[in-house]
Amino acid sequence: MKKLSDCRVLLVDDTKVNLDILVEGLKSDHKLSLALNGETALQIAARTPPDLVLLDIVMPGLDGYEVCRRLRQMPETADVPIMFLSSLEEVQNKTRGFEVGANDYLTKPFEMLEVKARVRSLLKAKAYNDAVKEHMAGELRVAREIQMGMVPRDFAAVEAAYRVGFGAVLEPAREVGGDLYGICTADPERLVIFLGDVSGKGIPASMFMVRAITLARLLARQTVEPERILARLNDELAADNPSCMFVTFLCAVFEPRSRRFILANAGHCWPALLPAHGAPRWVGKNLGTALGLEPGLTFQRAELALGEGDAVIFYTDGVTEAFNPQEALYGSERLLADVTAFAGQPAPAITAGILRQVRGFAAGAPQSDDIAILTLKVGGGRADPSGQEPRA
Amino acid sequence: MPLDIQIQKNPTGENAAALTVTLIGSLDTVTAPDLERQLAPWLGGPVADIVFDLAQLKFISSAGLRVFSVTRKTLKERGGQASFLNLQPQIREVFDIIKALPGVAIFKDVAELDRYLAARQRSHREAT
Repeated sequence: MKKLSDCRVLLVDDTKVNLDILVEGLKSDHKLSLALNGETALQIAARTPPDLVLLDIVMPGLDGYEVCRRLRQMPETADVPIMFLSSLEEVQNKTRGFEVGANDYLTKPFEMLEVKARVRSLLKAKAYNDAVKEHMAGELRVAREIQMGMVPRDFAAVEAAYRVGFGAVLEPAREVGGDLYGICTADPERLVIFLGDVSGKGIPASMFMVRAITLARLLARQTVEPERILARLNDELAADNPSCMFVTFLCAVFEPRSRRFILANAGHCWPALLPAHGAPRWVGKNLGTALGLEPGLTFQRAELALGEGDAVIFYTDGVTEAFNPQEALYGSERLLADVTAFAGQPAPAITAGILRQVRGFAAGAPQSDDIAILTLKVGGGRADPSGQEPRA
Repeated sequence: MPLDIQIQKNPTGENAAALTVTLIGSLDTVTAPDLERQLAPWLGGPVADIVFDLAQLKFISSAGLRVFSVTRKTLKERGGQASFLNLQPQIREVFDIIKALPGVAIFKDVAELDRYLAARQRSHREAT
């Protein structure tokens, strides 16, 4: 935790003699910044964020209430403790001070000993708060690394063995998230590909994600049909699931020899097929029920004959439900229109291109949901003997 | 977008044992915990049926859907049911994920719900 002597206190008062008294009383205990009016106080706070602000109310220009309100709106000082020091002693003045975001209120004239005691108390609370936040941030950083380690990134071996290309991205909206994807090389004739989206986001979603992805990998090796993988995964997840978390899930089996692509869906948005020739379209019809809600469900399969250069794009609704600053949705129709431009490109370029389109659409609006995109392209791997597939 | 939650115990009529929950706005990661908190005392009590009126629900995320499925599960365990009314097209699309589950019923409007509940209560009376 930060030492109290390292903490910086910003003193704001339009009367110089008041500032002198505070400086005299606090200079040996803390670092100090001084401002003789509200505008200067805001500039200093933005440049050198303080650990505490002692704020006069009646000042020419911006008054203390307004300074307090603006400090709360600035990200650097949104959580900084603020104490009013004012000769206004009416209850209405004090309540208004707390309403605009102050943590404490002391009336003038004051005893220096009381100011020092309150300053110490507020600084200690801030230091504790900062330490807790830092600790949480540290744990979440490690959790994120662990989670990111659970999805495959290097596809070279599987691309060569199955003559396919992969492009994948996983971007949680927070440090950790509930989106997942996986690729299982069950046997030489069968490649299992899956992608899912756990309800909600953040830590609860990430814990369920770990459960789902671990089970899915295991079941993908043991079970031949994708609809059976979903049924078994559903039964496992539905057992002991008191908080009713669920995961929408796509599972596909690709047979490299016949290029048959068998797909089963548990409540997830259907993937897009981007054929080597022709317009992109959705694959599949019946949505199915999400996994984890009720045991004993069955799932349907859809079959597709893929050709050389065809790409199938799995994605989560963080893509289609990305909002722009005007609160409009990116939407599935826009996705289908946008992917047309990526026909003929290798899988990583398709995935990156979609992410770029979504980011461009969001135009800086905060990412509202986790994003996962997994593109499979037939014949698009490094081992492609035609050599027609440049790497992105 | 915030969420306005109105919970009303049906005073009379065929579905007197049911609770009507009207949701206005957006049921998402931010607002879903609030709905879960407000439903908890009712789910812990004797209420068997809950009717969610979604005529004014503009957006639902999977976090919101999870609250519905917790409600469904709790009510189903005591022989009750969660019903959903007046789904807007964008909400209907998301509902496909849970609509097939036992303990979930979706109705076009109040009239359709009332007919269903009346029939169900008649069959209960005949059974006892």
